[in-house]
Amino acid sequence: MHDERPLLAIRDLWVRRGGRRIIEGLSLEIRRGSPFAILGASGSGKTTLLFAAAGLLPIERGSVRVMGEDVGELHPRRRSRLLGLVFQDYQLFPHLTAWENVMLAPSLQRREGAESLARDLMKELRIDGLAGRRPHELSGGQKQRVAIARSLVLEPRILFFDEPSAALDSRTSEELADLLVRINERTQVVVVSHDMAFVESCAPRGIRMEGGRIRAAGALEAIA
Amino acid sequence: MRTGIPRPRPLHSRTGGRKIRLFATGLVLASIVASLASPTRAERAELRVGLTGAYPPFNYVEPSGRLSGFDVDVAKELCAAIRRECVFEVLQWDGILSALLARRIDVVIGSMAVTPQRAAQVRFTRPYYESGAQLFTRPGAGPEDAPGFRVGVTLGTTYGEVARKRFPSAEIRTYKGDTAALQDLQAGRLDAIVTDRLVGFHMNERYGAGLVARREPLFRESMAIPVHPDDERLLAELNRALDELLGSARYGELFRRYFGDGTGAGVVPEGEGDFSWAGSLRLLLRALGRTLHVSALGILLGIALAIVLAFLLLALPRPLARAVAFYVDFVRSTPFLIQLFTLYFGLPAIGLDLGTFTAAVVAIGIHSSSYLGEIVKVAYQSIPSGQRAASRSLGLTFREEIRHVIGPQMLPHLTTPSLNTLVATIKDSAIVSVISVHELTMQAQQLISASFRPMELYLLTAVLYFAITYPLLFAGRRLERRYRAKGLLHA
Repeated sequence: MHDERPLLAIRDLWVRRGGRRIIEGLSLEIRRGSPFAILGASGSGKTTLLFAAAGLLPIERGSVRVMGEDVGELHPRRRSRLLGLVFQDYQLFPHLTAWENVMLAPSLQRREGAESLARDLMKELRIDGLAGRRPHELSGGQKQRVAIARSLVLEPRILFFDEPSAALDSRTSEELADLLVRINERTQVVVVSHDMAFVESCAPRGIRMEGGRIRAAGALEAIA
Repeated sequence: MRTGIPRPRPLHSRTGGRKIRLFATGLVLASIVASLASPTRAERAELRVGLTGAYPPFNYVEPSGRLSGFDVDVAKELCAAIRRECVFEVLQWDGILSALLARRIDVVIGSMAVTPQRAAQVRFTRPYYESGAQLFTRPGAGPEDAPGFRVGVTLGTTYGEVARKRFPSAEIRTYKGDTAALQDLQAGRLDAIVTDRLVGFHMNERYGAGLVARREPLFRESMAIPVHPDDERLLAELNRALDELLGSARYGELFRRYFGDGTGAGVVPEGEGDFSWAGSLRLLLRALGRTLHVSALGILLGIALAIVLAFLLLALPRPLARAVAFYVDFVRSTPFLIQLFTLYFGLPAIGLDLGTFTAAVVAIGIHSSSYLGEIVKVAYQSIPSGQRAASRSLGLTFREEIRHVIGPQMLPHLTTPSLNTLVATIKDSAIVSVISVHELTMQAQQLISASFRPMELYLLTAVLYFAITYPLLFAGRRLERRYRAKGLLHA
């Protein structure tokens, strides 16, 4: 399962946001393996790192490469096949049904087999009965699973999760941790979180951030 | 007596210098008002006759849609005499000489008084009738020099000036139209009105207005036919034909048909200009179609401009966006009428002639875009930035993002305000009648001036506007409820 080449390689990354420097010369390599956690208090720069790595924020200096390809220079289509992102507030499209949310990107990309994959994913995520509902008719947990299906249907090599347990109760949170471990079998999961209990139940390795830099890296027990 | 134009349309008088023409002065010099008429080139055998169709009994549109009146009858006699076919062009009074000078029409047979100012621009035939300003009182009114004697005159005519000079102790009241003044006279709120002598006679003859002509006319004037200064041959032909007509019994017949023997004791000619609801409704519906046409095209242009404005407001750097915002505020803070006049009368001065219909559409487009632009901008801003981030993370291109994510979410925010703007536009489109766009309000006024039924016809017109605008408002509300139910709109 372990590859020689890093899946994600961030070198000397500097990111500004709203005139303030948030990430300061950060370097990080993630190889294919168990779910990977990015820990840190709020304001430590972990979400900014995630957005910059996903190509959603301009970077001031440095590079982000996924499987050797520079994220900043990729066409959005190509990027979406390498990197997926499940937002903290899910950002489902409110005018589309759950099914349409999942199928929008693959149908625009004319991906073959996307429909059957979407059907399988929604079944697996236990949202197949909600296909015709609009986001405002779904619970938080259901929305999250639609958002996960929406990202997974593009079969990205890395799937980022931004604070996935923030809005969930403890039972749903446990279910989610199991789900992330299962998802990690098909794609590398990277979780940004400040919820130690949640991270402990799914990600055995990661980094801890502080002030826009990496404070510690390695096995979870070592960085917690 | 001009009837039924209680709007500040400067049509009230046919006499030179009797009106304040705010906007016409410059344009007469520019002389390219053009496109007042549809720019069809006349064939040799046609005589294009300009008139307003809103000056009964001289020229007016019957409920059947047919042009009638003394001028029209005279024109037909003259056309027959010079073997040309009369083609009537209904124009607004203000631009009628410009249309003549631009050769959009060949003659004006519309009760135009000969004045030195006009004679300097065009050639006049010999006069074909005489009239003048006349004091008409209600029966039993006291002497003019009695204290508190009230005289009504129409705004924008020189009747007020004349009345003030001749009756210094009287109270002079101004009205937007002759109808309003006549109604006040009949209601006892006025003792007298000053208006055209023959118009007053006709009002008595046709409608039993009960006007009593008192004293000699305040002044007299001669009505003649202007032609282009280079049209020597036509002028000679018309003069010959007029000589013949005025000397004939036919002329006396025509005159008596409209003005009786000048005492107001005549009888209503049978079958002439009879009021008909069916005919009126048909004309009003046709005009409503034009109102919708000009409004719909205007609002479509407005939406297109609004999208451009919203894009500029959102995308330009701060100082440039401020300049755009200032432009939007400027358009919002100036009257639609002035914008319309600037486009229609102002642009020809720099060589750009839009024509009536286009000018009206462009004016509506510009005006409505200033409101719609803000609506589009707010609709865009109401969409969370996360939606754009989500689109990009899913690999949508900018165009796909706008089309499939941003656009559909803006729609609920746009629909109701846009429908409201459309309703406002349809109502405001009545203003474009001032540049001779023959829309619903203008049609109503023509019918009223021919039939003297302001109450019924204005009510009918209001109902027609309502029949169009109410469903739009209703649809807007329903859509809003639907969007709310779908979770696409928040309170």
